[in-house]
Amino acid sequence: MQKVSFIIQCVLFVLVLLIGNGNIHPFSKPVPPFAKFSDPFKGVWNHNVHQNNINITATGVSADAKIYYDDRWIPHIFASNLEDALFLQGYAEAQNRLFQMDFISRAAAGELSAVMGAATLEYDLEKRRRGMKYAAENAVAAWEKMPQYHLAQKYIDGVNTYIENLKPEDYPLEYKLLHTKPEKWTALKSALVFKEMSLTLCGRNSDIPFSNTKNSLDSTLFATWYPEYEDIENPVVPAHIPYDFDTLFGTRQAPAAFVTTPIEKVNFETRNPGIGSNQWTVGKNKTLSGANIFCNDPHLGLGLPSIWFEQHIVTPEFNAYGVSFPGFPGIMIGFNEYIAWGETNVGQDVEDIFLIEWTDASRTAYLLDGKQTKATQRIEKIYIKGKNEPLSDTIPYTVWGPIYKKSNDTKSDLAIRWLAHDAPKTEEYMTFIDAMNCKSYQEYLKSTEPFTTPAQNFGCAAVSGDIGIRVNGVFPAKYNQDGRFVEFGNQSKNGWSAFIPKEQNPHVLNPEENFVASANQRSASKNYPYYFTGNFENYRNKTINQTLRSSEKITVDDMKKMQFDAYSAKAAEFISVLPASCAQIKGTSDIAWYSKLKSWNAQYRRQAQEPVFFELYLKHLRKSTYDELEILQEKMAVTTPKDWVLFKMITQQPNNPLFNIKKTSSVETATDIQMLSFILAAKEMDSLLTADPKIRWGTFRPLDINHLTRVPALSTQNLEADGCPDAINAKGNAFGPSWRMIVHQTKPLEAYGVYPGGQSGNPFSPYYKNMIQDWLEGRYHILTYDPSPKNISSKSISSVSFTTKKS
Amino acid sequence: MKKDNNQILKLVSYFFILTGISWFTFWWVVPVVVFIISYLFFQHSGKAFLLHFLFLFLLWFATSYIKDGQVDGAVSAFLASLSGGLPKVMTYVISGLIGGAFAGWAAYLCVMLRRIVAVNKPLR
Repeated sequence: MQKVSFIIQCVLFVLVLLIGNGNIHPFSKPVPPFAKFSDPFKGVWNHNVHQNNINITATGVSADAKIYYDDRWIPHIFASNLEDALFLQGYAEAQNRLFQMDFISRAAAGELSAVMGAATLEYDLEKRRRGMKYAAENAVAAWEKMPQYHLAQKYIDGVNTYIENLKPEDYPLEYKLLHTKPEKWTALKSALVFKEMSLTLCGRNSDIPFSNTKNSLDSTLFATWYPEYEDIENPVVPAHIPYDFDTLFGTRQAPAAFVTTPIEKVNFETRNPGIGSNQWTVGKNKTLSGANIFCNDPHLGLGLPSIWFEQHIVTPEFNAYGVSFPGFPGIMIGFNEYIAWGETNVGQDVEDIFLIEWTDASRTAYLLDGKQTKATQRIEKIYIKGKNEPLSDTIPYTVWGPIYKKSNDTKSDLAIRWLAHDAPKTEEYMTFIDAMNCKSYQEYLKSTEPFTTPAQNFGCAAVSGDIGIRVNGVFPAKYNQDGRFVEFGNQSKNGWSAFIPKEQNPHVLNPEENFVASANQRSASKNYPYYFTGNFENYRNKTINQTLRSSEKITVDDMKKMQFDAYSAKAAEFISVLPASCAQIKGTSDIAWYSKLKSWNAQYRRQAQEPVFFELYLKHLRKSTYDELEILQEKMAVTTPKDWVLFKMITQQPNNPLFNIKKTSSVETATDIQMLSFILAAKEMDSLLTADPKIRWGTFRPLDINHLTRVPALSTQNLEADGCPDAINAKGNAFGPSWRMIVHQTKPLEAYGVYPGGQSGNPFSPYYKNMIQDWLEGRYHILTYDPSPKNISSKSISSVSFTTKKS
Repeated sequence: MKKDNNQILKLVSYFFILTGISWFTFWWVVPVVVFIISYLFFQHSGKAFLLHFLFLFLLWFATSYIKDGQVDGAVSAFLASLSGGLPKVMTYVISGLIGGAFAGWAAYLCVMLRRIVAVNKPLR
């Protein structure tokens, strides 16, 4: 009996020990192995925060090199040449953001389930069907043949040197939580990081909802409510700049054949609404100091760790400072002693949807130019944590690209044609490496030449005085209306037949306005010879242009205030046309919302209540106006008109039939809809005030800065912040100005910056989220770009020394 | 008295070794070593369990407390938040309990084995 009891207990003990060590994983969720995780010597308590001076002997460096960390944990990299500098950059990014780099590359590839379990399976499937890994593989295959690929490889070697020197007990917390380990870094992973950014910035289309809307509405109604050009525009390249070239329209002279029936039962979600950026430069003639002031604040998803990594890189050839995407070499937004550079996204549509007609239910061949064409079958294997066998998903690839949405009838499917799938023909990875060493505006133009996609408005200010923006990237030369709707994929002539030559991309240099600005609005005016379609911003750009136009003797403090400006031109516009009859409407709280709104300065400040009421009003205004579209939405994805169109219709066509509410017997006008929306907003506001008498913008639309894994304990949630997507301070629920930078090109130049996060990806580090409060309050840090290692080292709190090892 | 002192010295050395093993090797090496070594020291299952449990509990509790202090309580705050709002001190306690339980259990099993091997020798 004793023996039996002993044997049972031994088996039980071994079983619990194996579970505690993670060798057996009986849970469906990715919970950490409890004993290994709790081990105070090597588990979660071993936080690896205090990294003191480290010495690394590596074959990757040609001479001694050093990274100094300052009191904000900014790495100052000193190397004797560009190759070594990139090696050290890779090391520093891995040292601080290894899990982030790994996670983003996995997320891009659709390989999260391997570490997160079945919960992320749908997410992975979506990424596979979008062809993200296919796109990255194409990029790497092209990169490897390019002359300067060894520079990208140096960065990769730096990352791997860190990984090779990393002991399991020092793995970042997330690896311990997920019970996994870092993989070797590869060019494919860097390409995936880059493709993930492409997906965020240019991996979107509205072809399905636009097709459905067009095919469901009366053509006059559609033309009125969905115009492509605004009446008042501030294109990135001002309208007075001429375009003296002929277009390339390719072989086809007529629009592609559009699908004319609604595409029902296709789940379509608009990705990343509100993502955008601001960039402007005030020329020397408009500043108090007589030197250019360059400003850039990209509005991307806010997360922990931040999407950006701040750094200073010094070699005998250059002294550059700025931010990078961890996982990709170079500095994306930054400055050196000669130029400052940055980007905003170009909303040009480079992703089109094509309807494929299969020859039979096997989905192996489709019709193209009257012939049966074989589809390539790509088998995607998705490994799921806790399961032995991977899940296989076969994705047919057509001449257009992968099948993105499968239908139930197996007769036709939707394929995606995305520019980022194409193998690059130029050394795109050199763009942000070469930028660090540019000494003039012209050199910067040359350095950005190889960039392909996601297309950006590349802004640059040179100490010599030049200021400009070039709309840069590869753009398909489209005929009017091409790519706006779903097209038939049975004829190759419906595809892109040519790309716009780079020299024909819109470009502005030293304009008479003495400033240049881009905020994701349309890049070029109607005069631009090519059809320019996509999703463009309508309000922020007006505020920026108006402010800069009306300002003189501008200072850095003015620019700081401007980047923090929460003024919404949209709110001001809609409030200006509120019918006076709304003054009679008061909720049970007896607050005179009409007069409150009329006296409001349209600033979305966190403590204000007016933005809450206005947002409710606008919500009801849209809902009451677009009741026809709401009926359609039950069956298919449709798109609603832009708010500037709604405003225009209220002021210019108040009796337009779309204002009529279908379910009532009376005929409503714009004024009726405004009144109704105001009443509904007042009622809803009453309920909100009852629940929370202190409700304000900051609590109504709080900001969440979530950790990559969405674990609340690693995130910062419910922050009260100023701003809204239409303001220069473009804050959304989970996105906003992810890096604010101001460079004043005086001698010596001054630079300021801040982002909502911290340099370290380690949640236990004091540098994990130490800059959030400064960012929230509109404060900046001085960016120290001193090229002297002696001066930097005297203030450093830690360092990593590299010495050469003979291979 | 001298015999008692020797016994205490052996025990202290033994626990010193266990601390070293905890520091330099994997956490599961400790229960394995306990299972082997406590055969030499302990004849009483309750005593073996209690001593090992207490020692490893204190070792894991104190180490986690010290390491947490190095980052101003960030680890315990994270674990407390992860577990739905436990008091921070409980995160050290849980850590200690896990370490103590494995060591105590291993020691108990060892003495049990000893009892089986020495069938005729009653366990005290």
